[in-house]
Amino acid sequence: VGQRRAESVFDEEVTTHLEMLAEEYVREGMSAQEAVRAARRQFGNTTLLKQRQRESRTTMFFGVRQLLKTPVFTIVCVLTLALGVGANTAVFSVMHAVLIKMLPVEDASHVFYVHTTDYPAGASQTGDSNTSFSYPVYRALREQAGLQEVMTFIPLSTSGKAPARVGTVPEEAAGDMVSGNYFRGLGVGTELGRGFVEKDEDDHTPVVVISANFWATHYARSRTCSERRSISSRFRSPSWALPRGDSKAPKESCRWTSGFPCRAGPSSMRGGIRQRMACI
Amino acid sequence: MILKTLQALGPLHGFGIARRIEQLSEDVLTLNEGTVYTSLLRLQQKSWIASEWGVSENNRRARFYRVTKRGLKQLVGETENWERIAAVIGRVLALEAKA
Repeated sequence: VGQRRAESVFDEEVTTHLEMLAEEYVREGMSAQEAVRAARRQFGNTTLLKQRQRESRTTMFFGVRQLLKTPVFTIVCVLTLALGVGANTAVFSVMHAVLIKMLPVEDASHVFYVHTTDYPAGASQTGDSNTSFSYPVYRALREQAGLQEVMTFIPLSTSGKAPARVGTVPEEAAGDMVSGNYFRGLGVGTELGRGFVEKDEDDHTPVVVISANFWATHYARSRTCSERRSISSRFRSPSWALPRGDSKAPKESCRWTSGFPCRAGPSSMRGGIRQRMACI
Repeated sequence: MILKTLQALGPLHGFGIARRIEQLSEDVLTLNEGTVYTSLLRLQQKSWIASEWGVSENNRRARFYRVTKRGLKQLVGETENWERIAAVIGRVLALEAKA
């Protein structure tokens, strides 16, 4: 239909053109019949012109028309392409995150999860049995030569989140309780203040390290604020130790708390609270 | 040439464009007027010109063509390009004449 309409429009245009040209020739003194002939001569081969126009339009709309003629094929093609591209992107994203992208720490290729096998049935009470160790095991491991940098962390809860309050607004924030050598072991520095030290672990110091993101959203990157915060209903002073820049900060965790093992103290140890370990 | 004509004279029908080019070329270019329509279709397909129906000066229904924004941009580019090439060729020919 479009093709026919385009052709009739072109026919009309050509006819008008020829008429106008003939009129001009008549004005110049030609007879009507002569003028029409002269106009045709001057205009050129109309059939050839029409053919060219048709070809030009055909080339342009050929692909579209073919696709519209077979909608099922078109839909299958489009979906196949879309799914193919989408699936590839998804697979690459996962591969990039798992295999290529390194942890934002000093020497990511030397960070390992410490695993154990043949864990006695029922011995594990929290966390994954093959990556969880009791505190005495952890301490014993650290006594080994070359393993001083074995570090541990315990999620604040099973979901990894704990109630937190800055000022008066209570909310939920993700974090881990970590060993005193956590930041030193990972080689992650701080923007302001200090990271945890061994003494924090030994003294069960109630201090917290917040992420740069949390610092920005809750403290407006203030460098002087000393507002106390509450995590799991325990007051902790921010030690104002922040990961140096966003790129170095593990994005998932909002903060880390020390005072470790504040809840996993000697009495809790007997309850079997276990640490997950990473080793550098 | 069509773009420049439309830019200079405003919306014009095919006959007017053919006439104008014929006048300007002073019989150097003797083309069949019909070929204008092939160029017009090509320019339209490239969205450099747009067309709409109107009434000609002698009360005929005619399609009037006008330059689009893209067409104007193209015209500027083409003009610069042409001038550059023409200048280079001019310089080369001048050198040969001296030699």
